[in-house]
Amino acid sequence: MSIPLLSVKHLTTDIHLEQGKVRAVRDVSFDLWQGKTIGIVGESGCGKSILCKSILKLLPAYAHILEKSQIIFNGRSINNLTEKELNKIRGQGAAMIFQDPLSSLNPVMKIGHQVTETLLYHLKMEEEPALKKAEDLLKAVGIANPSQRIDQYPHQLSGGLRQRVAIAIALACEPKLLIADEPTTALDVTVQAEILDLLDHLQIQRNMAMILVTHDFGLAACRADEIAVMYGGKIVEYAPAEKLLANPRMPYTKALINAIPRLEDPPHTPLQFIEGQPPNMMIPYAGCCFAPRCSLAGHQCRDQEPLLINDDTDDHSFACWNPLGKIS
Amino acid sequence: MDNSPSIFEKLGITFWLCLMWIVLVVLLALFADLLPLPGADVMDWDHPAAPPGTVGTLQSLIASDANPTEIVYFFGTDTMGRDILTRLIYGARVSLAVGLITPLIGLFFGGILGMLAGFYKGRVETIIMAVMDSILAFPGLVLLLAITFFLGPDLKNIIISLGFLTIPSFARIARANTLTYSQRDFIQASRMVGQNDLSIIIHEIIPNIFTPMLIYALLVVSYMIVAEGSLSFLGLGVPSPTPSWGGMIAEGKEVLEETTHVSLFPALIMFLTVLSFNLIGDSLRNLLDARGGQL
Amino acid sequence: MIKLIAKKLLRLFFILIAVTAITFFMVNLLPGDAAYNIAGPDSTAEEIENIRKDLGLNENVVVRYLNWLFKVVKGDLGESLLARGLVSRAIVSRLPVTIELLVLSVLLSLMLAIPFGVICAYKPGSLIDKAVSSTAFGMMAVPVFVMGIALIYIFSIHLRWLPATGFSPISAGIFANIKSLLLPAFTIAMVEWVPLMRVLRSDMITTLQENYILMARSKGLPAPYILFRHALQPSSLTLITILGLQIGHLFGGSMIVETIFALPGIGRLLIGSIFGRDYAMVQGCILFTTIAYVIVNFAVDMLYAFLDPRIRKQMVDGHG
Ligand SMILES: Nc1ncnc2c1ncn2[C@@H]1O[C@H](COP(=O)(O)OP(=O)(O)OP(=O)(O)O)[C@@H](O)[C@H]1O
Ligand SMILES: [Mg+2]
Repeated sequence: MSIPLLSVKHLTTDIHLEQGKVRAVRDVSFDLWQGKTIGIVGESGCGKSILCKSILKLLPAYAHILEKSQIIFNGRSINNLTEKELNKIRGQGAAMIFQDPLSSLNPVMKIGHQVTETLLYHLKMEEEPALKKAEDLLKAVGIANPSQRIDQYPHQLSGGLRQRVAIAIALACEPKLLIADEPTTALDVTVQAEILDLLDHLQIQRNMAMILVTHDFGLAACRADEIAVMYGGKIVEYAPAEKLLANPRMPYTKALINAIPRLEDPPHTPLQFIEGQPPNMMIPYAGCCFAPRCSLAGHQCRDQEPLLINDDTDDHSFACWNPLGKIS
Repeated sequence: MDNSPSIFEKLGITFWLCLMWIVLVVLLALFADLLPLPGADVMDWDHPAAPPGTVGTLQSLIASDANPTEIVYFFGTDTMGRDILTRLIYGARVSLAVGLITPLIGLFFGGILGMLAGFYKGRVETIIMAVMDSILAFPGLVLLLAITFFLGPDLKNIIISLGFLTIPSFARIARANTLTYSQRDFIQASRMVGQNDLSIIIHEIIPNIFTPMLIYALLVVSYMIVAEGSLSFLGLGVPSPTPSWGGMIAEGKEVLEETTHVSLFPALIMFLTVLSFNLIGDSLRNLLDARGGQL
Repeated sequence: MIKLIAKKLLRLFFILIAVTAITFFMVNLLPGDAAYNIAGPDSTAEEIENIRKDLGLNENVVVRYLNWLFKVVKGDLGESLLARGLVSRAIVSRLPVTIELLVLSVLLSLMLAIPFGVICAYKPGSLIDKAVSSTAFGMMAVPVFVMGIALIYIFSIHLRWLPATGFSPISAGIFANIKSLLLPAFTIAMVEWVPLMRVLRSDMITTLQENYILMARSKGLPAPYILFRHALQPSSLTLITILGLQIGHLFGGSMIVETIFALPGIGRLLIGSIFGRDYAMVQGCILFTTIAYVIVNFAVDMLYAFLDPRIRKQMVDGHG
């Protein structure tokens, strides 16, 4: 296990809109080892989904990944792969679950067909055994009566069930990496926990690596090994989960942690919000893009962009001119 | 605001070329009698189906003149030795009369019915739209043939029956637009204060729904030119000596094996005219959409 | 579901009543002397009087309409003046040609519209999209009779591949039959594929932005498979509507193509009868094509439900 399963280096993605160019992902780098989970946390619009889509090159035509970006999957750079080779990775190597389970299943196609598709295409299975396997998969994701569900259409299923189907589809060809883009945001709270437990369970069972995207720091803290905090398209802090929770250096991370509702809080404690607006990524900003909202910002913060630097320990890095003190 | 493109630039060169073409056709049709042309049914039996550019002699360009006149058939002659250019220009009268008057009938009656339906809703709307839908339930060309068959084919009847057929679609568009506008606060308010319905319709509704209706009317112009062409092609359009593009194409079809120009020129002119109306409608629609987007 | 179908059937019924009534009263109530117009300018007063008697212009109109309607329901459309036979028999004998022409032209126009629509939607704004879309826009300005003549010139006069006129029935061999219908069907297809392509393109562009298409891409499925298997069906509702309207129109509208290519179909029967002043036949043809049009549109409405399970669900729910 000397090399990471997925290694992302200097990933930068631009979105070209009529009004101008948005740099949605800026120079993001991280490594992910087999069986591990990296949590990606950040406010809405900070570029999490674009990051996930960039990894599998699932971007719309008006988005471009810059040349300097490198994505190495399983020891192989996917920069110059043909669409055909990419499709092999997408189906079998790395699978993705999307933010909105309600719209990510094809409404005019039976569930069974949507699950077996990858089996038929990538694994060249026959129709019969593929359907059999689809039933097993649906059972594995906790769907009670798979043989009936197979003949149903998505609109006949509840949101939670649809997300389970999406997970079953993602797992069909036993991928080594699962990218889960806010897998539970659209679901209600009780279903959220069930789905996350299911993902945990499946991950351990299959020894998958996982990228878990969320805007809920609490959720990332208890499910991920490492956490990357994103702000304005950049990773602004990156560390193992406990370390980050115990010892955030970036004021933004600290603010996110404060925003987690705590069980021990007395009832009716107001939720802590982060003051101000997320940055407009259309306008280039000279300094730290969090500076306008940061109470500790000095003029260096406004004029000069802070780089992602290591803490004294080498698994904790952050980009901040005025880091919070270390609590040891 | 100085360097924002002018209307001229926004509409693009194609628009202006098309407009020029249509203006040219309209002017030629209007002033056909003043042009130095032989009559539309003057036949030169020495030069039947003569190719473009042939020089012929005509006995009586002006009836009293005894001396034969020389004439160049720029577009050739048809099977009966009639000058194609002349017939095209006179044929434009029929096409343009049908193409330009018919939509006005639809615009007027359809517009009124649609506005009434959209403004008053309720039973008025149900009845008007039910009638409109039943007219739409007929296959257009068949209904057109039926009407002209029973009324007898002449230009007036063709215009009336084609105009009748366009009423429902205009009514639908007027209704849809009226519905959206009469939802607006200021109209609701005007009605609340007890302002006269007629004055609301005239001052608020009509100015607002007029542009989309007019753009649709441009589309209908090309439909109508084609519909009239189809009737004439079938021999059911304006009766025989009057030239029409569709009829000329049908005549040319009979000699297609020997020579193409007899049907080629009318077909080309008709194509260019219909295409021009389509392109003009399209540019105006795009202009309007773009403007809507900026609001 | 049942409620909805019942509602639609009721509508269909009313439209059929309206259609028959209009067809009937057209002969009876129009201004001017219908009998004179029907008989034509060269007719004698006696002929006109005969026609007027035939039409029964002196009886009560409603009674005559009901009598006529009763006969029509029994399939009796009256007797042709020219052909000396039953109108209904003449229509039935011409029907196969029109239907064959229709099926062939619909197949050809779908064969043009679907691939081009899908390709253009896959890469909107690309060179191929621009080329196809502007060609299509230009072709919208070509009337079907011009298209027919152009194709005759190219394929039968210039290249001598296909016959320009003459119909060869199925009984003379399926190959000759199709060959004789190919050029007329292609003429219709070249005109009709354009609106189909345009709606498919624009609906498909919308569909391709859906999340489930992204999901399908993330499954590593190849692009053609995603386009045709995932995106085509949800994008084809408007296409089906337009296609239904076209099929309806073609029942009567094929008369131009039938005339150009001298095909013995319903449309040419109608035109021939108009020139022959055979009013029973004209009335019968109009009635028949209109009813066919109305019924085709009704069938298309029903077809929706089978294309989109969500609409099926709405129909079922609408029952509750
Ligand atoms: N289709 C698009 N059109 C225009 N801009 C887009 C589009 N998709 C993303 N963006 C831009 O890219 C930025 C990042 O978007 P992204 O979807 O990755 O955010 P996110 O972090 O996933 O947010 P959320 O939590 O709401 O899902 C946004 O700020 C937005 O401005
Ligand atoms: Mg997102």
